[in-house]
Amino acid sequence: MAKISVYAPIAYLVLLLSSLALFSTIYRRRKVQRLVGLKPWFPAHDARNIYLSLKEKTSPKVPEKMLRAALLRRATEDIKRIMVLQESKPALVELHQRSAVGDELWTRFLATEKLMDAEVMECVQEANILKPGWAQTLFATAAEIVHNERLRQRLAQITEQKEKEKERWEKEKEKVTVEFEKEVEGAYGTSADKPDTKKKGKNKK
Amino acid sequence: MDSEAILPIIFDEVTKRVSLPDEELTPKKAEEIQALNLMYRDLISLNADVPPPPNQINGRLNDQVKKLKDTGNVSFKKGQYSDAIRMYTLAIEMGLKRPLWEASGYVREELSVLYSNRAQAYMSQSAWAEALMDAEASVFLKKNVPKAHYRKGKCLQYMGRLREAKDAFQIGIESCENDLNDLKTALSEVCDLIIDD
Repeated sequence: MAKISVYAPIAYLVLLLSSLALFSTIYRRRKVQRLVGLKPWFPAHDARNIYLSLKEKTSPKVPEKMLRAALLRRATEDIKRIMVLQESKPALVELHQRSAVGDELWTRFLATEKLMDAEVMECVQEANILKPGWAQTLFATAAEIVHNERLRQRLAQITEQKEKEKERWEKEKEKVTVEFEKEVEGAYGTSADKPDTKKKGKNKK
Repeated sequence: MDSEAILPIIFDEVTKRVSLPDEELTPKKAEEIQALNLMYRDLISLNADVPPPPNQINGRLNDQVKKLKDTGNVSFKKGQYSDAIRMYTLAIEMGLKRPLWEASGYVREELSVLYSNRAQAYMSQSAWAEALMDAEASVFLKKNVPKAHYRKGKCLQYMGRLREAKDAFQIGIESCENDLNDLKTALSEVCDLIIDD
């Protein structure tokens, strides 16, 4: 039998344990990094940043009403984000239950919800600083602003479409008139006795 | 969420407007700045420190819009359709100038009637395309008004878009509760036309 050194099993154990320890520290560090480096759900919160920047300005000092306007804009953006989170939640919950989405996405979502709550709390505090008692109506006002903005957006779209519709109809009218006149001349020659078209409507698609 | 960032924002005391230096401006930031300046303008004209809760309405703006609408209605009855359209347009623009924190429900009510009236005025001039878009706007603002759906369908019908007209009438019948007779008649009329096609 070959001679095995006494140190061989000891060396083996040391190697094994040290590699396990190394692996677990690296794994844990990676996990923490992953949590800290979580990609944010939403892009930069411009309204909030503008509010904070205005609040800091001392020369010239920004008027109170401008700060309030900025806080309103911040609350409005918050409402929009809350709506997005509320709409996405049921789908995400189900997908997560079915393991169709990874843990990272789910963790990001939960973290975003918590951050959102903190943001709302901050807005409430700021509102009461700017005007005591305002916090009660701030978010109701902001929600109404969101509704009104959507309204106006859609109406602006429709107004834009108007021009295109006008053009389309003008072309359509020309085309149909020309075709119809050809038809009629073919059927009746130059007789003045032409059938009434109003009833039939211009049934060209 | 992203980390907070302080921006090199500028407040001009003369123009009372906020702005950012050009290097900082992205399209989104520019939009936000513009919205902020408009909101500030609205807040200044407000007598209170903060906007009232949404269920309070600005009385003066109401009356002005109503006056324009009534003037438009009078012109319409006299057959002066261009004048009517002009009045309705002014009323609509005034209605849209309301501060954004006012009750959106009330804005929808007010504007849907104005758009519907303007659609009718356009129809009296056979301006089907313009009337169609106004009827579309009216329907979007308030879905349960049979007249608006009727006008939309008729405009489509007179432009020869029969299948769209049929859809419009059907949607009208589904969205409304009362006064469906005109819509039903119009629907069967357009269906006959489609069969003839």
